[in-house]
Amino acid sequence: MTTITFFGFRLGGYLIGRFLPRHGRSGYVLDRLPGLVLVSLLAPTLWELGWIGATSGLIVGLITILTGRSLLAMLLGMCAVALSRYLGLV
Amino acid sequence: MFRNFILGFWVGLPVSAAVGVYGLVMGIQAATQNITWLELMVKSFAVFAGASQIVVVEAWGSPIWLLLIATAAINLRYIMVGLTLRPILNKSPWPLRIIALWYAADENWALTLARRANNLSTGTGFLLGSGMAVLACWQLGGQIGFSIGANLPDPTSLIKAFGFDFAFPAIFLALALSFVKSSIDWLPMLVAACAAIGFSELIPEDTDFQNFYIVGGTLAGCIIAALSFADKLDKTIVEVN
Repeated sequence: MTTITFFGFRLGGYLIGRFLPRHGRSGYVLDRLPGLVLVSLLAPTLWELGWIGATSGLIVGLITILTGRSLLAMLLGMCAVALSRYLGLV
Repeated sequence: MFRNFILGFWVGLPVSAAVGVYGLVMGIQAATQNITWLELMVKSFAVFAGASQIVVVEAWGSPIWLLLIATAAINLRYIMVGLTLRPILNKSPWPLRIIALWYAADENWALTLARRANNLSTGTGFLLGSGMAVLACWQLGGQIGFSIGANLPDPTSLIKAFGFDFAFPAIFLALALSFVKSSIDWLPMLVAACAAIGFSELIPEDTDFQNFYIVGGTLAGCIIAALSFADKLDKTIVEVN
């Protein structure tokens, strides 16, 4: 039942999305929707991590913006978190 | 299509490595239960539901309406995931769309849309290929975890020591930033982040509705994006005049 519900939500969203206009205000919001879902998903986790979350998030953000390499950003962000824990900073 | 599938699988592998780590933990936990490796593999293939699966197991025995609300609360954001997939899936035959929707997890969905923003040829093949990468890493991690089982003392502390718990927030942040196309996009992002934090702080952690913060944050961001669309038009009109 869970699997069907899980799939049903994605299918339902897709079917609704097929009828929404892809231009104007609706299209503009739909184009930004993935980024907004991701930010809403991760913001509380960064918040919970406190200053180390903010610093590592800043590192990830800067590297992504400057180099466009998301994997490199992820790895360096993870290293920052691991190092802070190793040094007992958190 | 096939080339896109292979490309999706290849590009999706590094992002999926983090999923493999969580698969490892799941496998270690499964080793302590009365379950065979084959059952574990079949279950991982069929059930691609993550957190909602855990909630339903926990809430088993509750009234059916409560079970449905609990599942809906956790999965509500997948309506939004589905909403965004129209340009990706529309040119594919329906059976392929259904399979791709089945395997649209957070990681490959975000990766596909981020790539689509810069490369319009990214489609169903890429989504499905990267979904298979997620599934492969989840399976591999699960089987390795199941094999080493109880020999590993505390997998959660190992994950924290190596910073793997930051892998998802980091990759999601990097992918989210790829959707920022102009300075006007920052405000909805900021509002979504603040609203999500606010909702997560306000909603008690031990309720089934904890995950509503994702929907709440997204909706707040959408409202600001819709309002800033008017601003964008006004600015364009002023510039033209």
